[in-house]
Amino acid sequence: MAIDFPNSPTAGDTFTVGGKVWAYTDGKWAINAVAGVGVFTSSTRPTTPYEGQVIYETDTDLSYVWGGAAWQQVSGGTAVGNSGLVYIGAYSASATTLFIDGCFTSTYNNYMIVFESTNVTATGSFMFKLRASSTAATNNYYYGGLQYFTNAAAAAAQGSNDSSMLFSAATGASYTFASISVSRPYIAQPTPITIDSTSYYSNYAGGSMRGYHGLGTAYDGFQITMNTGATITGILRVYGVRQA
Amino acid sequence: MTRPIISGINVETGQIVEREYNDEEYAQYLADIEASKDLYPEPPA
Repeated sequence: MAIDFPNSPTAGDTFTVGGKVWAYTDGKWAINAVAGVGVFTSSTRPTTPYEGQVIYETDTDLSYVWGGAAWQQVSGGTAVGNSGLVYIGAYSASATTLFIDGCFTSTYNNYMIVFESTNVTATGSFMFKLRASSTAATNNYYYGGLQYFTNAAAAAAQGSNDSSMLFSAATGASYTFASISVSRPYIAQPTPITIDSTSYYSNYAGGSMRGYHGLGTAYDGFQITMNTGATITGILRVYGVRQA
Repeated sequence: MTRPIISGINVETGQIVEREYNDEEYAQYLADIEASKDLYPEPPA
């Protein structure tokens, strides 16, 4: 069946016939599974691209979009599929201690934990601990940081060989958000930890802690408890930071 | 008297655990509360 393409097309025009989408680029009609998407190499990019045209380069494994004046890489310095955070797992419950085990492996050097709590049954501060083989590490947390208030200067907080790393305070139904970064927990070396958190209630604004766990032990999980023993209603999500 | 509940998941195996603290965990729980009860007082009024 002959295809009767439109006369006098301009770059970027598409034409659908028989369920197939054709795009006019580089002075000719090219068939594409998705309009405007093409497979090229870094040396065979379209010479007359249209604004919004997306290409994939097989030699660099990168995607680009034509912004009207230049090809703009869709992702950062690595291919789209190799960038960003990789979801590992999550857990949601109401309990005195919430944990995730089996999440730290040699697949990633660095991990991001996102913690959200919607209720605690008593005012207190959250405690973060690493876990190995289902058992929490209960000493050797060294850290310093600040607790923030909306009506007063920040107050220093610190711990030396503590049983946990304390971070944000919370009360009742105050919403707590914490971003917890853990570096190389699966290696039997001291484990760097940073925690930034906020829980807005009264005049409290949040906390910022950084430090490390000092034992040369490999860990595969973590847990969160409150120093008042309150029941926490919350969710833990853990992600690996993709490296290539 | 019931003890506090520990609840979580092993994401490698998919196994979910929800149980009361064991003896070691309960002793640590009491020690944590005692050790940190004066930390992070209420925000300024």
